[in-house]
Amino acid sequence: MERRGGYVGNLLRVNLNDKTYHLEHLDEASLDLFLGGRGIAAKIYFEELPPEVRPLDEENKLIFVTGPLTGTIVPASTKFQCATRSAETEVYLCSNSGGDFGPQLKFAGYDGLVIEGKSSEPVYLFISDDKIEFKDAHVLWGKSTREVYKALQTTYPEAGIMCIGPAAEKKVAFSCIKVDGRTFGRGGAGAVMASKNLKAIVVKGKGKLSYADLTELKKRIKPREIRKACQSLADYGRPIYTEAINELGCYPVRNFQTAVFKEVDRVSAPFMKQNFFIKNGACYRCPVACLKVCQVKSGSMAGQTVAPEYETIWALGAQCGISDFNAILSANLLCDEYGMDTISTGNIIGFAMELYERDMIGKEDTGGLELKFGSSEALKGAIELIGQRKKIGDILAQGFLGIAGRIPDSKRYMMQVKGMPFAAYDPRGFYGMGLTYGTSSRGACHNVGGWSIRAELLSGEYDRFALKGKGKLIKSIQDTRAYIDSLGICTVVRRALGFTDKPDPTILNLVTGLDFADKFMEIGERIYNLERLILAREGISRRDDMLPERIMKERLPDGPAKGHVLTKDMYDIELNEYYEVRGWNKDGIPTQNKLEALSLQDMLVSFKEGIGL
Amino acid sequence: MMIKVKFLSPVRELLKREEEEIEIDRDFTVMDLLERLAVKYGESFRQVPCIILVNDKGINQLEGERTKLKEGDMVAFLPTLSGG
Repeated sequence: MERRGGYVGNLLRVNLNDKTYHLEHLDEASLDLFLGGRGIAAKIYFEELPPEVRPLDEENKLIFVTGPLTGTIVPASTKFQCATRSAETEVYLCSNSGGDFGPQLKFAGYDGLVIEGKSSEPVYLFISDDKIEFKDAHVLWGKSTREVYKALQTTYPEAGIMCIGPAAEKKVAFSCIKVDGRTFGRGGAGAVMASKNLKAIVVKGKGKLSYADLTELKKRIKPREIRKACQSLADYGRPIYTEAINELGCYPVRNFQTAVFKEVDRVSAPFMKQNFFIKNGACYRCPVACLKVCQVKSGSMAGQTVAPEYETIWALGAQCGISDFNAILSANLLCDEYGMDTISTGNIIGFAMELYERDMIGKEDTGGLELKFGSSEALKGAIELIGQRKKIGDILAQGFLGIAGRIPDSKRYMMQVKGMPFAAYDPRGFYGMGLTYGTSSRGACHNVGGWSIRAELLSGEYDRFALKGKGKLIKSIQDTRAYIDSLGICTVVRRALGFTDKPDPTILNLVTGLDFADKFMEIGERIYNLERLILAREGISRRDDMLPERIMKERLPDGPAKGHVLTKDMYDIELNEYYEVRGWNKDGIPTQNKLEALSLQDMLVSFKEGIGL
Repeated sequence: MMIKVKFLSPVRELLKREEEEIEIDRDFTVMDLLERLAVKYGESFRQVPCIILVNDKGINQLEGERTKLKEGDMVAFLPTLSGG
């Protein structure tokens, strides 16, 4: 069948070494196998980034790819993906972001953008349909993301803009790329962009996307129903999870020492809405508008606005023992200005606070800062130290992999997998989340790894403290997420559009003119296996899927999950089942049979050559 | 017999209550509780999507709305959770 909509068909490849660019056509076979977004980005990564390339090498690439739904009239069609060698985990990274950039890239005539090489001077890239310009960025270098946006939005109103902050320029391992108020948050893609002397990318397009059956598609899309289906998120945003996760006893507090935050009333969504909320915010074509824009009331950032996410409120709040919501908002803004991932920043500061309270670091390391749990001043000070790479901040800025080499005894307090810090869920309260963190394609990520709490709580099939069945469950959620990440829509609306583990292909069929019946889950599985193949080529195996000592040895002291722990023996039961249902060997490497069944045999040959088999 | 009922947002905002104790008879189920709360607070209470837990366990993992309640049980109304 002919591809009649959704895709543009082009990839823009930019080389910063010699300031050149050229167009490539996306081949049909690749789109059939990998769909778009995360799938196509992983394929390009596999083919072009050999394992010896280090994150900040000139040879590393930034691979941005939209999906067939990005920029279409489908609600919340805002997403696009980034793949690169991570500055934080030092292996493969996939990351997704909303904002206007993805849609604008499509309107300009490109499904994807690959950035190669390194500019000799700071530059930013301006893409306006078929006009590509390399602009001098000396005046922007060193500026905060807020200042960069202000400058570029004035020059390029209505464009999609991504940029990095000072933290990326200082190679902070968890520096991010800001995208029109959204973020490629996790994994340090910001540091990679900075290593290329690339401060920002601006894109603006006038093109129109084509559709196979626009009339029928319009009939099928019902924004009001989608909003109704996501009513809690429309009313409160993702912070509505805070009280619920705390009530379930898996809301990590003070570096995962407990999982019930006694001051939850002061960081909850209703508290936020009553005291700090000023308006709703929405990504491209989103009827839900889950962004709850809040205003800082006091302090040096009074009057500034930010839309805090659930994970951010946790990382800069309970993880650091902080319940001062004004301080959390201020810290959120500060992280954004420096351009640092809020989850990693808060997690690592919580970890440092524990080291301080255990006398493993002292005032001589912090420059006199009392780095204690519960201190808003300590939080702000620590963010500044990391963002400027001063004192202990210079070590913390290296991320957990770097810290391990500098403070060796601290490893037992690091809540991470593969160097990626945990998010806002304690797996001792939901055993499936252990596998989620352990086997995620990008280290301890709650999204890519398969967010299992809903299924563990509601399906009736899986008790949250059971081990059996979790391998099958997590595989299914991971594969579902992988195909959704390749479509170009936000996960908030996925269920309402029929993109579940029992997918309804109608929407994508109407956009593309192709028939995706029964193909989505196989595509998701193929992408996940390709990502594992990449990780294996970069040296990842079973030993890297292990959970931190605290999760395996310390019982939760209070709450509904009191007394629970996920020991090594228990986790091995989950992991063995997971590898088995995945068709991977006991070391976590995809088997030949599995790869052939997923039409990845060509990749297997290349993989074997890559590791010298 | 007494049970405790805890309301989290968004149900709490609708009912303007955080928790309450309710006296129940033998064989009182979650369905009976929902009916009693709807009588007390109005039918709009049923329109709010939520997750119901009995003693920290989703009722889907028990016997759904037919789950029987007993002395000392804690029923909690949580918001729907759709993913990270």
